[in-house]
Amino acid sequence: MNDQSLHEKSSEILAKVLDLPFQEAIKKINELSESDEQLRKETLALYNEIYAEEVEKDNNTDETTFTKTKLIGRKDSVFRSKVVSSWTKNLFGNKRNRLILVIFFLLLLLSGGILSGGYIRNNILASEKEEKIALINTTTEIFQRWLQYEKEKIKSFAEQETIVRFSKSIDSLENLDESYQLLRGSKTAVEVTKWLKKNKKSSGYGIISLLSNSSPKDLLSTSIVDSTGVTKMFGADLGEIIYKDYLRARTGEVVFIPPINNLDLINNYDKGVEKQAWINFLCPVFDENGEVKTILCGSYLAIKGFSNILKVSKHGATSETYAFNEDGKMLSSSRFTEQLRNTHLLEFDANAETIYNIDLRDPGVNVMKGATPRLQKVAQPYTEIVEMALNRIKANDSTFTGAIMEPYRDYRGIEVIGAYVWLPEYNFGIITEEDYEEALASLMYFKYTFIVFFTVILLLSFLLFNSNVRIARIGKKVDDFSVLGQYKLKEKLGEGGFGQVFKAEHTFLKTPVAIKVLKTEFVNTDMLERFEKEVKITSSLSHPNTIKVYDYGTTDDNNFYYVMEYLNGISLDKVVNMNADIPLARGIYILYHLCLSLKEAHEKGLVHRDIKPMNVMLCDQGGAFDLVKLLDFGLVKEVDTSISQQTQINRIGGTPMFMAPERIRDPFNADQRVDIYSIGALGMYLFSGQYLLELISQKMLSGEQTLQGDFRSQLIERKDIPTDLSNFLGECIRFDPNKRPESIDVLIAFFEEKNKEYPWTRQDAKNWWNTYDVYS
Amino acid sequence: MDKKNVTKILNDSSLERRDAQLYPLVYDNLHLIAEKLYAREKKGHTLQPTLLVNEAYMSLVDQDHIDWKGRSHFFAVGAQAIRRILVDHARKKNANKRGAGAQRIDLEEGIAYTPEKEGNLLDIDEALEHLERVHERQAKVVELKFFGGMKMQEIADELGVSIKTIEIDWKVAKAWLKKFMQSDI
Repeated sequence: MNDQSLHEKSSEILAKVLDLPFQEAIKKINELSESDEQLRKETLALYNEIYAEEVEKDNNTDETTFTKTKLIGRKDSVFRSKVVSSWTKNLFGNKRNRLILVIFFLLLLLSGGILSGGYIRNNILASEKEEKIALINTTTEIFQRWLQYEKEKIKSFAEQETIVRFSKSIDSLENLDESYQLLRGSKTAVEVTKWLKKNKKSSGYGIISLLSNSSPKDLLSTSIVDSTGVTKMFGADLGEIIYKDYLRARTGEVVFIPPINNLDLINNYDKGVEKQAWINFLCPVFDENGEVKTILCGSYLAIKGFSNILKVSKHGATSETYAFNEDGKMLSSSRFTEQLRNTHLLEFDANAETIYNIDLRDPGVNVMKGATPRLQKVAQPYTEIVEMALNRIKANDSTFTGAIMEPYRDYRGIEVIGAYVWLPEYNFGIITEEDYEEALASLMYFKYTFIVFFTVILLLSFLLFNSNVRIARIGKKVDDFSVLGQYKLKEKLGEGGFGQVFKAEHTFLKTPVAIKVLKTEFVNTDMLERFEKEVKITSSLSHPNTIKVYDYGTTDDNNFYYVMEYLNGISLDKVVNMNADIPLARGIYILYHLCLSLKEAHEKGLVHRDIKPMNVMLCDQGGAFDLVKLLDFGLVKEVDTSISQQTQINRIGGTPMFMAPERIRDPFNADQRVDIYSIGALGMYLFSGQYLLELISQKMLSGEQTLQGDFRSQLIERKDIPTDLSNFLGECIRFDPNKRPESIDVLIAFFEEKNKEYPWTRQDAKNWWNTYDVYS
Repeated sequence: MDKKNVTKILNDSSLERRDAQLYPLVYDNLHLIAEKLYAREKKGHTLQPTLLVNEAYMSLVDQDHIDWKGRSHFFAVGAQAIRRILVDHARKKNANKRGAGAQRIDLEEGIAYTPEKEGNLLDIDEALEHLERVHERQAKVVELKFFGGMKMQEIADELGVSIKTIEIDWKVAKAWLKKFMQSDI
């Protein structure tokens, strides 16, 4: 066996095994080479080379892509971009991941916002707390200095000689008559009262009184002096709540009494007197022996001295500092007095003061807005800060300051934060409060800013996500493009004037099909309807020489497509262009079968209108060699002609070479005789290898003067072509349709006869296919 | 070079001496381009024959007046011409044969010519000559693909066989060439 046939044989064997898995391929090679050891060895060696290369290719896929990318950029940047791209691919690659990423990002942002919001809030509150405590301390300090001053003042007042003298005589009169009648009627009483009244103004007190040293009674006072020159309050019992203070004063202390209502100050106080809160300083008046003779009481209207100190510390829009007592009563004037007068807290009394009239209890609702609390005043709990202060006093753990930075409702029912201090030596406390809203105003700004910011981000993320999805959808569309209806597109088979042809596969059956996607968009439904009609007729064509149309539809971007049977074959165009001439018998055979295909169509009223070598396939369908198939029946030729013909007309090989003249002039011409012309032109082409136009121009160049006579039948130069055949083809290409054979039946009859005369056998066809599709 | 002339020859399929007319034209043009490149030749300089053939096509053929057949035929002739040019050049430079298998030959990508690879080129040329004797069509497929940079379909059309045939030819030919060059030390 020589090298040539050895190689040929092993090539043939290899062709059969290349698609098989390795083991099977080896087995098959052994099988096919049978006893021929040399052939077996050679084939196996070649197969090993091929197999090794394929394995290597598989392994190196990554590497080769890497080395390719290396050419583009520097190694590290490529690597980096690779890493980045693989990351981004993972992160953004699919919709779910992207959604998770977006949600994750939003959550991160939100929690970041909440965390920093909390941090800011804590910071604000911490500084608020410090501020409040400082304020309380300052206020306390001022209070203490003021009290110190007042105490000194009353002390020096009590040490005046006149007062001491008066006190001594009062005491002696008191001692003489325990019912005080003597004192009441005495000249001393009038004199003392007069003196006190005289000194009242200079001392600044609202009222100056002298109390008995033996029992808690008011004796002489500048208040409500009647016609006798003595006060109406003479001998009035002091209110029980100040007994304690009275007793302390009697033992020699200077005592400060926080604001007390005049009604509580004196028992059986004249009810006609206006309700007023007073602060009092009690100071014992000593004689030379250090005995307490009387107790001097200097009184101020609480609204003046006391409250004013607290008013100083007011700032902002809502912060206020006020004093309170053991009973949880407000002891100073509120900055909201005006507003409070319009509420039930001050009983809608336009003149009422807050001092002593406001119970520091939580109404549970915002009283300032006119809401009525559900509970009776006594049933309401103290405000949190008062509760806290009072509890501490009761616990007696000597903690007298505190702050509440979590919002709680104050006496107005508005959420506040606050701090307090209790002054045990004076029996009152100071609270400073500020509306929570104001205190955290900056936090609010932060929150609003954050909410706005977050909303914008949210919106953007949504848009981004949506657009990503849209991009992904477009990407998917590109992928989807490989799926049309039930069919999965595979490789492109070709591209024509008005469409692309793809090899495709039925999704379930896996049967190969060809799909033609028409480029032209169907702008109007009229056109679409006509096309649908045509597809329906075409799909009803069942002749074996006609390509089978299975299905049609429109793509997402409104392009029409139709599904045809997949043909394993070669276009007639290519066959003609091969070096060897087409045998006469084969040519007749092809023309005959084309006419058979056309017969069915013409009977159904369908005209092909575009018969040309490109639209004729010679196929090997399961061993049926040279099966003629006519493609592209009648479908939207108008579109093709009107739009792309202009560009094609200049090109040799373009469609018009096979078109009847009247069809070129009128693209909508649906006369069956245009097909007869085309068959004739096709026949000319088959036997001459040249286009009709070329044939004619050659004839003219070689001296033929006119196109008269039977020049048509002389166009074919091949000597083996019988004259009646070339004459008949010449008849078919008459420019006047009426002069052509009248119907396809005439053509069939003619070619049938010729076919008998020059038979193209299966063996002839097979021989040709063996040289064309060598390894099949 | 007259564009119309070459285009006319290509389109004129009836001319039997088409190749005889075309080859010298294509060869001269390619030779000219290649010489220019050789003159500027530097170490590490690569010269891709398929690009050269393309360039020749651009300069020689009026692309508005040529069909697929003419185009693929031009490339077939071009592949033949460039093979000759490269091999002649390598011989002139007395390039030594590298010895088989000394360097891996990536037939897949088409040849990328560098002065260093000239010996290699001679190896391939020699192997191809041997293959021509054993299986002419397979050798032709390699020439068209390797030197002409033609696509499978173009080669199939040019040689008048099915694309499947070409694909198998290509695979078997590659394996044969490798095997040949490895054994022929």
